[in-house]
Amino acid sequence: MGDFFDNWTVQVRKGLIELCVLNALAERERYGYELVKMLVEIPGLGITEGTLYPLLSRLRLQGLVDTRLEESPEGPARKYYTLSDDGRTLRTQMLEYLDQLNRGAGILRRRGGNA
Amino acid sequence: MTTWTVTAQRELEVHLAGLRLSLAGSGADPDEVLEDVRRHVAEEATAARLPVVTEADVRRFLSRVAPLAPLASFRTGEPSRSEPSAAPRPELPNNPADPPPPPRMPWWQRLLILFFGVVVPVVALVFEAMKRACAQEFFDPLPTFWHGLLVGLVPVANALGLVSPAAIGANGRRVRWLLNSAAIGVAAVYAVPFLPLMPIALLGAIFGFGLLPLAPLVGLTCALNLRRRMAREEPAMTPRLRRQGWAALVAPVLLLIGFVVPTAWTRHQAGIAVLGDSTRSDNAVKWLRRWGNHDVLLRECYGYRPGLWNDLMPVHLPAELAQQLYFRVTGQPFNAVTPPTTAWSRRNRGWVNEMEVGGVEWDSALGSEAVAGRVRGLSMVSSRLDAMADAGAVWSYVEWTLEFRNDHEWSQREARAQIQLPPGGVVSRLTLWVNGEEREAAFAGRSQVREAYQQIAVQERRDPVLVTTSGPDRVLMQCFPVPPRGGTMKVRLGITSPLALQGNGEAAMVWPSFLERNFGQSRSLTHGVWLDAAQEVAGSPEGLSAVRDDRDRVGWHGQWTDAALGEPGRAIVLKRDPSSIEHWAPDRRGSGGGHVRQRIVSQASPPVRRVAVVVEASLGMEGFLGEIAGALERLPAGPEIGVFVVHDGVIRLPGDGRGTDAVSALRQVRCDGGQDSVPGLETAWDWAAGGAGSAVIWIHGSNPVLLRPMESLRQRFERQRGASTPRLWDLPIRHGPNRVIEKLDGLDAIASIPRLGSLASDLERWMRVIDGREPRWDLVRERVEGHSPDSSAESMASTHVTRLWALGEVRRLGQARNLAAATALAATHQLVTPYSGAVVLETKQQYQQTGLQPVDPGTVPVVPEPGVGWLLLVGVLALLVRRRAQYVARPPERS
Repeated sequence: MGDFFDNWTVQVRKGLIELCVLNALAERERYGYELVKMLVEIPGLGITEGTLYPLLSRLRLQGLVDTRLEESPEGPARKYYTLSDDGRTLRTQMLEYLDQLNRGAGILRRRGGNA
Repeated sequence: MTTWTVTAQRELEVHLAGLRLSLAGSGADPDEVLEDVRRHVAEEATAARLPVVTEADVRRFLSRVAPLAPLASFRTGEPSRSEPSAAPRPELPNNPADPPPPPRMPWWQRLLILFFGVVVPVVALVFEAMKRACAQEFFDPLPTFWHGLLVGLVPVANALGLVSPAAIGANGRRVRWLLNSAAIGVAAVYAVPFLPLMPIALLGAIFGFGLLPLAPLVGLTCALNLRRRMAREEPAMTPRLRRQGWAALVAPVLLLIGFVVPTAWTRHQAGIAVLGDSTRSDNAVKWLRRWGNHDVLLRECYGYRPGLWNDLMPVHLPAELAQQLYFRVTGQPFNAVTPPTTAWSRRNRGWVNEMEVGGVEWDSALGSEAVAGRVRGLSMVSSRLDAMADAGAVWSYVEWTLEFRNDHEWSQREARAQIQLPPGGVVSRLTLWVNGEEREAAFAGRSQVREAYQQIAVQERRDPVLVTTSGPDRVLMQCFPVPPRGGTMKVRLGITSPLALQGNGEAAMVWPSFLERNFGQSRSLTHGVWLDAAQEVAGSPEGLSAVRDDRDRVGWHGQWTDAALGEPGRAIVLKRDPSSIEHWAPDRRGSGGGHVRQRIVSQASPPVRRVAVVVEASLGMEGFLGEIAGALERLPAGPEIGVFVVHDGVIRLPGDGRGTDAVSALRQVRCDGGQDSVPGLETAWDWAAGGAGSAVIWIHGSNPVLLRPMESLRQRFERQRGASTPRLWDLPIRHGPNRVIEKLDGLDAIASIPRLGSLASDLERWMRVIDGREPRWDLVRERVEGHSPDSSAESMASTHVTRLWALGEVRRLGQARNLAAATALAATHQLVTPYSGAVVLETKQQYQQTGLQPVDPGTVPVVPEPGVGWLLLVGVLALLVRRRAQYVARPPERS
């Protein structure tokens, strides 16, 4: 029972991780270290620092995020990520789909009871 | 400026090279990712403010940001469950969202957490629970069992945190998370009050014992460390679980605060009640009655530390003031309730055993004149009262035999009890069983017998028993030592008393009873009561059965509970011949071999025109005010009656006490706590003294605590002028000690109304007498030198009549300040009076040592065994008395 639930949560998180990154960047642009620390702290998402940089690289290659470098007074130059137009469009589609999915799941949940 | 060591740079490059390989085919740009990781590591180093970045630092950063194994399995498509991994995860498949497991905790770190997070808290908890070291020296961290339970969470949670997540499954990990949260809350709460002890603890750590005060802090540190690790290990850390974690952290904090707040508030109010001015004090007492934690007050009475955090409050209540306050708030003395206990004190020795269930461990009143609280292990295991009464000569004699048992494991015990004697009674015999043999007492001056008792009992720990007076119609019995481990001690008190005349045709016998005792007794234990009376009993005595012997003589016997023994309704009313008014008794102890003549005379009291009724509205009187109001309402017209209610002050009820307004107001009075009647008595005296011919009647419950000095009240009664100034009539409703009456001992102006029936009947009877509508029947005794009544008359009265004469004479001498003569007379007649006492010692040597002489066993009064023919003899003598009375045939004297 526990293993099944664990596997299921992995699947759910796997599907949501890109959306979470897009959402995090929808508010404003963020530099990599900041973005990583923020996403790591999100409860239940299960993201670790090591998984994010390859993901961000892939999103950039797919044209969903843009990057720029900016010098920092305290450390190395910071790489800022921001959503591209494609990224915003994709995010909207993903959110609409997720809402639709939630509504459907909600109907089934109500039929099955809240317990 | 951060400097990188060469090895650190090399470590980073080697790692990145490996990372590059693992990113092949991941869909990510390896160069970009490597650059990002390099930048991230630099950010970590900057954030950590490291002046020098070492190889170990790089490894630590990389373990989070770019562990090779997970990256090697990073795929954009479906996760592969079968792909090999350098750090295989036991439970979850590899996929992009999977967190990499934190590296296994180094063995030394595990060992440190095991020691500081588990062993040290457990040792601290057990040590404190057993030895109460912190509780004695600083504050009590474990005032209740529940505190101990919460503290126990810390080592349990830390131990669970060391267990591999794979070993406990998903549910186990959730429980572990919640326990860890709770442990952090508890440890944080405990760490704060221990902070001031840190310097001592650090010094003490050198010698080992300092670890105990450090336990909360090190436990907290370990719990926090484990929490960070758990957060990384828990892949399914849902928001709900995080919220539950916070709730689990806050819950014990709130719980501990919940423990603290009522205690703190109660102690704050107690401080105001004890030390504040009159108004603030009264208000604080009212608050405490309603909302105060009475257990906290009880702890203060015993000087027990109030517990976590509260010890840090600057409130200090002296135990004596706390005991007075406890009475004001609860209406009962602190030593009448089970002492406060904690789960820790059950098996401990020493200081904490003050809190033992069933009584205090340390008997601080040993050898003193205070009964004080129950002591653990001591109980009364048998009690019998053998009585005989002669209504003709109006006397009774009761032998009360008591046996005590001490079940304490090691401590000798002193049994103490304050005993209510029948009105006008006196202890005339005292016996102690030593090795199965009866030893009679020595009667001597009060200070001499007490000194002997102190020396033999308390210092030499031998076998004496002591009886001294402790107020009007009250004696204090104390015997020591009752040996531990089931040892017993058996004593007997003989009590001679006059019967209470009701008119001239009936006389009531009142039983002695306990007012206060320091020993327990089984609920099933009853007093075996036996009465042989020469005359017929009026009505059917409650709880007694008649037994006839083969000569058709009647004895009365029964088994009474302790409460029943003191009930007014248990008085035995005996019928008597009204013409039997004069009795003679030999005085074999006086010089010249005279006789004592006792006459029954009726005396018309000076009419009383003003009666002040003081009603004490303490909690013990709850349920009686209506009865009192009804009794006042039914009183016949006559003297003016003013009713003064004592309820946090003195309230004079409107109009005459019999009137509708006063009666209605009295019925609406609410009884609260313990009341101080002294101001009420003073106010009532002042009002009553304003008119010629007055009386104060005090209707009250138990008064086990004296709340103020008595001199002002005593002065009023001492300085009274003539018979018209107020007299105080004591009318107790509830059985129990009365410190106010004790302090008024020896004053002529103090008298008690015999409790023979209901309150209304007793009050009405008294009213008829004091307003002169009925004569008051008194016993007048005098010693007649050289007079020799006829032999039949001399043999008619018992020497108990002589003892009662001697008691009156001792009081007269005492009031005349002729104390030496009073003491000598009391000792000669073997009486316990305010000036004399009785003590039984174990050996002749002890008597010689203390200058005392035990009485001749042949001179002590006895109660014959049932069936012996004294009843027949007394019956015959009664007939002779009647014949003599008819021969004398003179009217009753009036004065």
